[in-house]
Amino acid sequence: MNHNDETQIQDYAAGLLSGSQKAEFERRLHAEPDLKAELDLYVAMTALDQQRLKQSLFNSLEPHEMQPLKPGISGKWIWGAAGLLVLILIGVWYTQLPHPPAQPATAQEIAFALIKEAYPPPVAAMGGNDASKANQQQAYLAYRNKRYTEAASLLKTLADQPGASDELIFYTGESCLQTGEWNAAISYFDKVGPGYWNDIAQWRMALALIQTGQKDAAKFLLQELQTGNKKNEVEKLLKTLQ
Amino acid sequence: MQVHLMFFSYFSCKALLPLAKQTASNTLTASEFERFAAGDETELTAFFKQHFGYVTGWLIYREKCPPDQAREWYADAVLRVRLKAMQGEVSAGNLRAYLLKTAINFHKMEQRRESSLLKRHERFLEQLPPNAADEDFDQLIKEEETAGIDLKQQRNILVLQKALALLGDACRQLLTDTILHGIKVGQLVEKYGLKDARGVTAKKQDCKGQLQRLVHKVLQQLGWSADQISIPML
Repeated sequence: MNHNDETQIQDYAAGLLSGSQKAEFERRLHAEPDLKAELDLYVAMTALDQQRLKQSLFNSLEPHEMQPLKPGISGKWIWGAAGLLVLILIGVWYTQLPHPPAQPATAQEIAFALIKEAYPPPVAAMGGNDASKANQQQAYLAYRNKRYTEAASLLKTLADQPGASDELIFYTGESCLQTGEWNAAISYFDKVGPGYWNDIAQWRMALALIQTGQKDAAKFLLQELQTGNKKNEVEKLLKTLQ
Repeated sequence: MQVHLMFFSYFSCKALLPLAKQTASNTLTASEFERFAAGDETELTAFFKQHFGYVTGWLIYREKCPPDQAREWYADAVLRVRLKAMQGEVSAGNLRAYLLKTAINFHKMEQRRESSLLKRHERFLEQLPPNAADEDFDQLIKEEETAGIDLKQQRNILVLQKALALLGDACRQLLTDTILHGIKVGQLVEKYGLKDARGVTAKKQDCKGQLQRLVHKVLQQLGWSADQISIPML
């Protein structure tokens, strides 16, 4: 008897064969007395063995073990929920961790960040109505396009001429500030006369002074600007300079 | 906040741990499965007890199966899973899911299974008095319609039951493993403490011979002839 016959005998005895499989096996049982004999031996021995085992198994059950359980949440869901809970807890725990406080920025760092925000370019009427000189137009255009080295070079020539406007001198200083020429910037800002451009020139000069390490001079200028429109930044810098 | 969090974690774990333990215990360890698949009856009993509540509960509450039948389908399913494990057709893993599926299938095939040859044999056995061996066997044979199985099949059971009872435990187990469970002799070397596969084959032949002699003896005692039963003379 081969393995397939054994399997068929087991399945037939257990009532697991159906349709054409069952019909074919029953045809073989009629035609093959040996197969029928094997089936009868198998089924008699199995029935006896199953009865013995079932009696033993049911006798082994304690009264509290015989209680059918109401189906609840499956193991998969339990593990999924547990995993999610752990992730949430880790997230909450992480946010509660005492993160090391960030090192306070130095006055130089604060000033440098403020310098990097270049002063807005001058409003220039381009074309025939603009009476300004062509090289001044070119310089402002370079500044507008953030080509500060070119702007500084052009503006220096104009600012050094007698009668240069405060606006032009300021933008020369600002162009030098953007290219890191701190001393040149200080020099140009210092030349700006009283009036509209003076406050902003002093503010930018204070930033340049901090970059050159002239803290006392910077402090002096900043104290003058404490009531101006840069009040918050000024106070922050003064606090850092203390 | 940290303290609240610790309490929350503690109680969450407290609540989930028993469920997690329950889930983890649903699978057999490698060694437990090895013993289960080798036919160890202690392991079988542990497996039976472990899933009884879950599977019968599912059959009763989800499949609307009557409680008495749920118990029977469950026992049948456990023995079926064990047979498949012994034959190497299932591996260690989520046996509970396989067991549940088998039990549900048995429930759904109720009608077909109830009329199966094995069930009819089992029903015949259930009808026998507890001390059937002491009874007059001719009195125990019933009409085919009443018993559900033919006369020869009834005699097969009675003769084998008596002969197997006279056979030693080791031989009965070895023949059960080879004839019923289809386990190859090579796999039984360790279980029976024999030297090698040849030793198992020799022992199997010896046990068959013993059973054959006992069947003859029982037939003689009953005054029955060999053609009144339908099992091969082993």
